[in-house]
Amino acid sequence: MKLTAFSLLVPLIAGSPAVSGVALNPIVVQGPAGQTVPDAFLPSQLPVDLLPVPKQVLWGSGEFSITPSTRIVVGNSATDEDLFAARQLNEELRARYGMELDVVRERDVGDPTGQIVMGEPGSAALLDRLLQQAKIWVTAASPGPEGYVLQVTRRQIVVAGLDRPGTFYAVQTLRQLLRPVPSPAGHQSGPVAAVRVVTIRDKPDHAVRAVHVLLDASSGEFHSQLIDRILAPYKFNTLIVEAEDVQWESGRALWSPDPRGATKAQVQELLEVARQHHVQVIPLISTLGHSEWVFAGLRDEALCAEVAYIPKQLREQGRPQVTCDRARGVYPAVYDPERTITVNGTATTLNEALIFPILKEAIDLFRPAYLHLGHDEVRGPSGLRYDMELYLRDIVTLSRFLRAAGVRPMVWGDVLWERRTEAHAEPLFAELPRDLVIVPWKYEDIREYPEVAYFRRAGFPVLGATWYRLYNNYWFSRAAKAAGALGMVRATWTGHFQSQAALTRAYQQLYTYLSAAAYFWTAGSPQPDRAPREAELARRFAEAWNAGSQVSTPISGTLVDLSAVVTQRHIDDDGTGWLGKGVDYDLRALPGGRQRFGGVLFEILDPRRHGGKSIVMLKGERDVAAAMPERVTIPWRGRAGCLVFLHATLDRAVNFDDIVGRYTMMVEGGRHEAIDLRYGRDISNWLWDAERGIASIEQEVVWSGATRAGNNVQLQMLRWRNPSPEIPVESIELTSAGGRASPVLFAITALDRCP
Amino acid sequence: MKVRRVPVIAAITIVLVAAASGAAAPQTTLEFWTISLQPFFTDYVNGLVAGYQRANPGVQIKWVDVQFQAVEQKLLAAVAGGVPPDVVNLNVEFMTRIAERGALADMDALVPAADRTSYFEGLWSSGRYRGRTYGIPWYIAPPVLIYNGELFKKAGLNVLVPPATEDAMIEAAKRVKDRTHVYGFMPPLDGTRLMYLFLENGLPVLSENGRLAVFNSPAHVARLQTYVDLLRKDYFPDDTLRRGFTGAVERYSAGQLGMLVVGPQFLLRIKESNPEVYAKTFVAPYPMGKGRVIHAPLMTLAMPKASRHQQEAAKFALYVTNDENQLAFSKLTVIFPSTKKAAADPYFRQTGAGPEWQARTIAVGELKYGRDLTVVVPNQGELFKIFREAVESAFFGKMSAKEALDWAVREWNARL
Repeated sequence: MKLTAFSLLVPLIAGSPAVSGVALNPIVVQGPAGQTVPDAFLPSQLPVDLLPVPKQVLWGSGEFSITPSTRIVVGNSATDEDLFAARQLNEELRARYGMELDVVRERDVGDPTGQIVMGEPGSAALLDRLLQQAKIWVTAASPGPEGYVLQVTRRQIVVAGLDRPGTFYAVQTLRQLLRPVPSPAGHQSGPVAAVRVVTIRDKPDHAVRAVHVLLDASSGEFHSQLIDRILAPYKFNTLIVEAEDVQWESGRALWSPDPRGATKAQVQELLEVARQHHVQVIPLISTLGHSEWVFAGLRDEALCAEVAYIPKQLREQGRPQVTCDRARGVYPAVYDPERTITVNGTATTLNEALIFPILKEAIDLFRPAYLHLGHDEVRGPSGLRYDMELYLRDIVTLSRFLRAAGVRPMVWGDVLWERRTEAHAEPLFAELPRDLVIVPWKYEDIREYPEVAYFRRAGFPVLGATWYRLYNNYWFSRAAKAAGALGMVRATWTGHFQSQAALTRAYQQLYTYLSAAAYFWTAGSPQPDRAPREAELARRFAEAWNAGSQVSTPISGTLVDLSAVVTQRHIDDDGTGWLGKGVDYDLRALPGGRQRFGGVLFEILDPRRHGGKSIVMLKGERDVAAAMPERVTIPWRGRAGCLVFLHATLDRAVNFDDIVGRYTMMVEGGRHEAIDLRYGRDISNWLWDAERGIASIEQEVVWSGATRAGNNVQLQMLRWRNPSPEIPVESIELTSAGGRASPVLFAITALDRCP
Repeated sequence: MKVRRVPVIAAITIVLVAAASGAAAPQTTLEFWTISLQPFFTDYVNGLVAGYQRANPGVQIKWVDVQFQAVEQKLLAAVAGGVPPDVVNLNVEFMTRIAERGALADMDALVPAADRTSYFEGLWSSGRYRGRTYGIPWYIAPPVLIYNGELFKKAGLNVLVPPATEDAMIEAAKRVKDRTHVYGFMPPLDGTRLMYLFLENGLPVLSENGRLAVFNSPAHVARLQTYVDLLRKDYFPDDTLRRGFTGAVERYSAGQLGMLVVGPQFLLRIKESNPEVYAKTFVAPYPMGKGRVIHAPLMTLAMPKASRHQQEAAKFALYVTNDENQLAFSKLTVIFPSTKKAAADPYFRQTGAGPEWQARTIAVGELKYGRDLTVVVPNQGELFKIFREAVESAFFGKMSAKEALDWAVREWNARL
């Protein structure tokens, strides 16, 4: 459907107006080429903004320089596990600065000057000596488990964790402190990176800092990368993985897993990466609640109706019909774990035939300390109440099964909280094991979380579960800390088998891991109004994810002159500019003239100097865009390694990924290169998307501000990498698909090469 | 429409002959999605399907009953996957959102004018988006007040004098909570239901030309503030916004709620969930606001544009919503037909015993005030989310009621 809109448009554009019979009103004018500048791109010099915020930071003056001769010094008896943190630092240096440091044992180092010394107290004499000299104590009381001290002086860097995870987290903080040092051409031995003098003493507020994800066939690679590049560096230490779709071998007499699920080999790969990064993995098998996986996998569809939970009265009335439609994915709301069913002629129950065997197999695969049993949103057909006694008995039964294997149970807390009066009145409530970890979830920006204290008073350990909202994470983490909770979980709801697709379709769910990480480590800081905005989180996530080298030298280029093709203005003093809604809803917050966004210099036109126009607005459904041209040709001629467009759409597209326009680069020799503008990926609305946030990692939001009315607004940058930079571009054609989300161009900068 | 009965033996014979001759009879399979009609209306829908198949031998109906919470997502997935159902039951909110994506067939074009006139004009136009109708009206269910007589008595309230206004309901709820320590009510505030409360109190959501949001006047703020204060004083449970009517029905069925404001069809669920609570249940008219209008949710039957059998699907949808079938449906639970003739049936003037008959009588009286108040705007998904977030922000302490509504109005106005 999304392609249809554009394919309808293309023939009209390609044909002459006379043939198509549609007045296209194209603008094609000759204009000046633009200004050439030596610093069209400059590497960004963002201030150090540590996330999570450490507990104690004492900045000093000066800096420690990392040169090719700097070495990482570990204890003489350091094992491969100890060396992992050193390797992480080297990976960072290699990715960002193209260099690696030698890792040496302390016996090979006479003088620690110029070195990075790391380890745990008692594991290395040199480290102990340096700590003693600096009067730094690293003990179980302070900073405590997973805590660390990081001391950067002009002479050396000391990385001291109380334990291996502590050292690992100190290295993660150090990675964020690294800054590039521009080196003169030809000098290979000078400083490459620098770290400002500082002493940091740090520890987590929560023992468990978890992210919840859904395993699928991409898990081996995608989730491993997620741990390596994002979760562990931002100090998460637990992954709760929905594992019901793993290719289990159990229960095959009646059930088979969805083939899109993760293989056991992929899970093993993930477990190994997690182990290296000090991340424990807790499997989650959704029992009772969200048990579609059970129904979907049943070999015999008749069994579906047999195992479906039907309230007793309805069953007695003979109205048990339920829909079991595998093709549609429509199944009963929930199963009955105790109902007698027949499998291969043998009477059994679903718990006996399927759930217990899968739990056993999951324990064998994961070797976990905990296993999450789900049990959330358990409701009968048509919203009827699920029997509370049966609900509680199932937890007791499954918990006993886990206990026999030395594994602690965990359940979501919504049912036990929302139906607490009923639950409490059941004698079985007292039989719930008090090592059962209860995970109440709340995803709104709520100040109070009384359920944490309620479950704590009842004797249960608690993990609070949040979603992507900033205040939710801030307030819930504080409440959990105050109530002595075990920790926090950040949920991810991208749909089954969509883990990797979330990068380009539900990116908000991923980049907001960073704010959760911040509050799970340090519950009270930063204050939400001082926390990094989502565009900044998205940028940081993308930078870490892409793990590419940073360009440290300026790139020259040309600020393309749009003055001859502008069609509208971004400032609306009289209700005829921008959106046609006047001064409160325009882009006057966008600074004019030469502005650097995302490292790229742009020329933002001032409408007062250009006949009341400053932007290239193309035709669209909104009133203000209705009379605009569908196509505009910019007759810019020149060589470019990269064209960078600063743009937005005037409104939101109906569907994510709709093609809302096209940029076509006409190249000497009659060739052309086109970019289809996919909404939400290459271009997005000027207003903050309240439903999707920044939907794709491909989006580069480089400017954000606010209207006078207070709406959050933004512009994105799109880079076109020229496959043949030696051949001159002759013109750039902008086309709109004519829908609600019509493109608006603010500036183009041509770079001699792509950063 | 008259249903011609085909003897079962004759039908079987036809199939056998066709199979034996190797010439399969042309078959069209229509997929029909309903929302949460199982298990209460299984027999009714099976009967509908059987009746249609008998009358239309070349047509098979495949019935799929989907949970309310899942229907929109499953429909979008089915449309995107190129395997849409042919007829699907949607409420006006879902229908508008899916119509905006261009995924539904235009009913003004598909349904002959003569057939359209059999429906109430107001209901036919409730399914209208950008001037076109995308859903055939099926049934409406004006809400009623359902209350637990035992809790009322314990609270010292007269079961025979139920609260008649929204303010009186609030006072009764406070009294139930104060005297029995059981919550008095879960007001309809989840999702975008505060919009209905505004409209029911004569407070507009949009300006007359629909170009501006206006739901931040002092009167709007005061209405929201009333409920914010009630939550802060624990007069309704904190899961009210999250769980909505599902949670309210569940809590009421457990005997843990004094009053319930829902469609009367939910009486069946209460009866099945807990006959003891049902036995203590009374029904009263919906406590009306100052606007003298009641939000009566309309269910429609829509057809995905990508259905390969649009004409046949429209015929089937007209059959499901015809006078005879709607009347039969209305007799099974307390809902009201969308066709004029069925609604005029003497059945709706009959009286009987028990809460359901009570509800039916009351709801008949409410019909003149009832209409579907769903606010139809472009970009509905995002605008409604903004509204929900504003309401949550006010309730959960992120913003004051005024700040929250001012913020939402600003966001709407930038987008409208």
